[in-house]
Amino acid sequence: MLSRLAESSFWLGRYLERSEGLSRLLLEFHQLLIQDQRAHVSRGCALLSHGLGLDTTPFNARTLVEVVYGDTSNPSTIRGALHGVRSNARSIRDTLPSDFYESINRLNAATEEFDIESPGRSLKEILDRLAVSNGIYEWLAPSDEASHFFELGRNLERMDLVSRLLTLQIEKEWRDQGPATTLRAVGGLSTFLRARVPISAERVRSFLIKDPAFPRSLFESGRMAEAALREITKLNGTASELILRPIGLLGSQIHFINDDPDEMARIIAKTPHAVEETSASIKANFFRPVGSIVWSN
Amino acid sequence: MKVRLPLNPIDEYLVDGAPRAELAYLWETIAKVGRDGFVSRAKQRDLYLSMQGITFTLSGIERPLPVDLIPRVIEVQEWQHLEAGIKQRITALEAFLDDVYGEQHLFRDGIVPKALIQSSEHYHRAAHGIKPANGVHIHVAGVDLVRDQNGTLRVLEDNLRSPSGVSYVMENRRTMAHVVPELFNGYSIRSVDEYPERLIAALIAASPRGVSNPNIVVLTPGVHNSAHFEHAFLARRMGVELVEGRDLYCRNNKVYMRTTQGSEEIHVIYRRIDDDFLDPIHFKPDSLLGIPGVLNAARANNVSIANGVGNGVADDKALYTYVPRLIEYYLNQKAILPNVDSFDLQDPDVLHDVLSRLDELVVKPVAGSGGYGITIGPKATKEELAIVADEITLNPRNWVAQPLVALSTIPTVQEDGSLSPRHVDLRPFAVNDGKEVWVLPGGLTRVALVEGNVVVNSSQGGGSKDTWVLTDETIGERESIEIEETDPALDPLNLEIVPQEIGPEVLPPSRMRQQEEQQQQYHVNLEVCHNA
Repeated sequence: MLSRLAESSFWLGRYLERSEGLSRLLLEFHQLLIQDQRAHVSRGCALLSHGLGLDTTPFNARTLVEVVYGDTSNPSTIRGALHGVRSNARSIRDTLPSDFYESINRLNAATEEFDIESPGRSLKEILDRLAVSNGIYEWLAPSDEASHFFELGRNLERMDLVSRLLTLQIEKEWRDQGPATTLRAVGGLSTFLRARVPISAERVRSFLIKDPAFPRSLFESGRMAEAALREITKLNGTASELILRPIGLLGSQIHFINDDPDEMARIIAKTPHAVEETSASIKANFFRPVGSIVWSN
Repeated sequence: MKVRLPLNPIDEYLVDGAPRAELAYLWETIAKVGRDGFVSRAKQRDLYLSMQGITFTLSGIERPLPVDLIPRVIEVQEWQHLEAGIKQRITALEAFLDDVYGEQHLFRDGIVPKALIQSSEHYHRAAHGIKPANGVHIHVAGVDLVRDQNGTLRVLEDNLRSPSGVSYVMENRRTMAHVVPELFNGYSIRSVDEYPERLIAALIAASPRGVSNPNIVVLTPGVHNSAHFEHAFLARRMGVELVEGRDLYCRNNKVYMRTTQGSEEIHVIYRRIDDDFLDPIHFKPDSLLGIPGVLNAARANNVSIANGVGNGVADDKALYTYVPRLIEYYLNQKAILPNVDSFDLQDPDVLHDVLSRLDELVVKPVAGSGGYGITIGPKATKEELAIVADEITLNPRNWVAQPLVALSTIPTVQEDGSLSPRHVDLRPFAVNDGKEVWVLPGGLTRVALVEGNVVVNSSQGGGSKDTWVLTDETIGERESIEIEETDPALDPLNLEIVPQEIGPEVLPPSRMRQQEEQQQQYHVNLEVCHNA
């Protein structure tokens, strides 16, 4: 298939997941910090912007919203990621179901009504529309190579985001609300509670790393990313070993992890690197195959 | 009919039209939101509540429990006073229940007349001799408080059976932070999110002796119960199963739950159904909601029931008058929180006096709850008063009379977005794990949404308010403050973070220009054709 199409599908998956993850994260962080003591507020703001790799450090709940919601020029912010969603979809709209493209435009329209003062409603609106877009993609997009790239992008982004969240350690620093906030930030509170274990910082960490029942645990999204990669290499007849290596290695480490906090911290620190390596190798193999000529601007 | 109450209530926000010092900042923010602002926020709130399914079933109809957008604010010192008072009260009532259902020293010492206890419809002989594993009868309590015309917080009643409302406390906070986030600016408020963890810890602590990993359930009457939302909420947040009576059964004095994998033994039941319906063997024989035999299982110490069976004897409105005396008797302390004065109608002289001035008193049935059956003297008609007088004379044990208290008011958002004072009460919740009585910071502030109404119960169409307990930090614009040093190597802020990956620019401006040019040429050509 066309490399450009593959690449845009991959990034469409990533940006959709990113905008969803960041929206949920901001919604819950905002809830947490808004009623908190002020020393904790600036600390929480600094943690979040640092964890997301943003340059500006917000100092209160309102500026936090401004910074994380961001603008179209920075794809590490919600607005930027949504812009990425729209641009990638636009460049391959011929291959996308028209219902899906329509839902992306609706999503884009929601950003125009974003209310910084009362972000809760706007973020919920964005999350709603993202859910619709994701749902339509799943029902209607053909299960072809493009959809595997989409799936791969989505799961890699998921791993990246969950590991970032765990790096912040808010479940440790906000002992009363932190663990629940961490879970809510990835939509995992209900699944966690259904397992009927009392909530605690340690259990939340271990849950988000290795729980097979939760689709966003590092383990599960790693498994899904690996499956998508296997499909892609099969379809292309590419040697899969090297491409699969970073994710596969991480997966087996998670599979055999114990509850030692240091070991968990190592896995968390390793995850973004594994994601980056995979991303680089699929780029080299499929998006910009060796020998292709690239014109610079 | 509108009747002026004979007393002037105090307002918790405004003194002579100006806000109290610590509320000045909040008052400014409220003004900034403005009338139109509140109208649109109220719409957002209603949508949020119904989308989240945060509801209360009133007379068979599921509706959102309206949370007013103006919070109640309690300062540190007052909260400390309240917290101490509630702990003291629950500790004394706990000792009382232990005594009443045990050795009954209090009758020997003449603290409370035996007849008063034995005539209580919540005194259950069937509960006599049941010794809870960790000694706790009152796992959860809700104490209703009102602020009188002098500003003193007084206890209006204790709720020791299954006090409801705590889920709304938690949801109100989330709703407020969602709908009116700016009101929180400049205030530092104690979190209410800890409650489910405290409750489950108390339930684990209550498990029968020898059980290390107890199986805990929340027992609900079912979806048609007014507080079903709360039951589901608590079960979900505690990560335990929500069951109905038909899901459980008893065999050999043990309680089991029917599951797809066979029977599973249950060790702790947090029940939200009344004693009367709990066990058809001992209580109402036609109850469909209960579990036949559960009381015997509790007596055999195979299961713990929370709250304890027969707790109602301690929150009986007639016993209420004796609570300060119980605090002295069991704890050797003076009551920190005063009662509202009550008249013991079983004393013929008192009865006579009360009957002569019924039109200025409040009369309540002793066994009632939910605000049903209350007569407010100054607001009642002559006929209504005559009926009440007859009933009291016939059975004085069933009634209690109290002087009218002018409940304090708090500004409350009206339909048109304006603010107007409405009467409020406060129900803080306490959890007892046998070692400590923990009080949830804040509690449920109930507000009578109808002007002049003084009955605030949710079952009487009242609303609620988010209740803020401030931390001791000063109020004002937030600024950043250094927090205590931790090991810098472990601080996430010092970890190196990989920047988020960024995809290629799919629509770079340079390409856009060229692509657009193609279109322009097309347009030009069209023009050419046109001119030709």
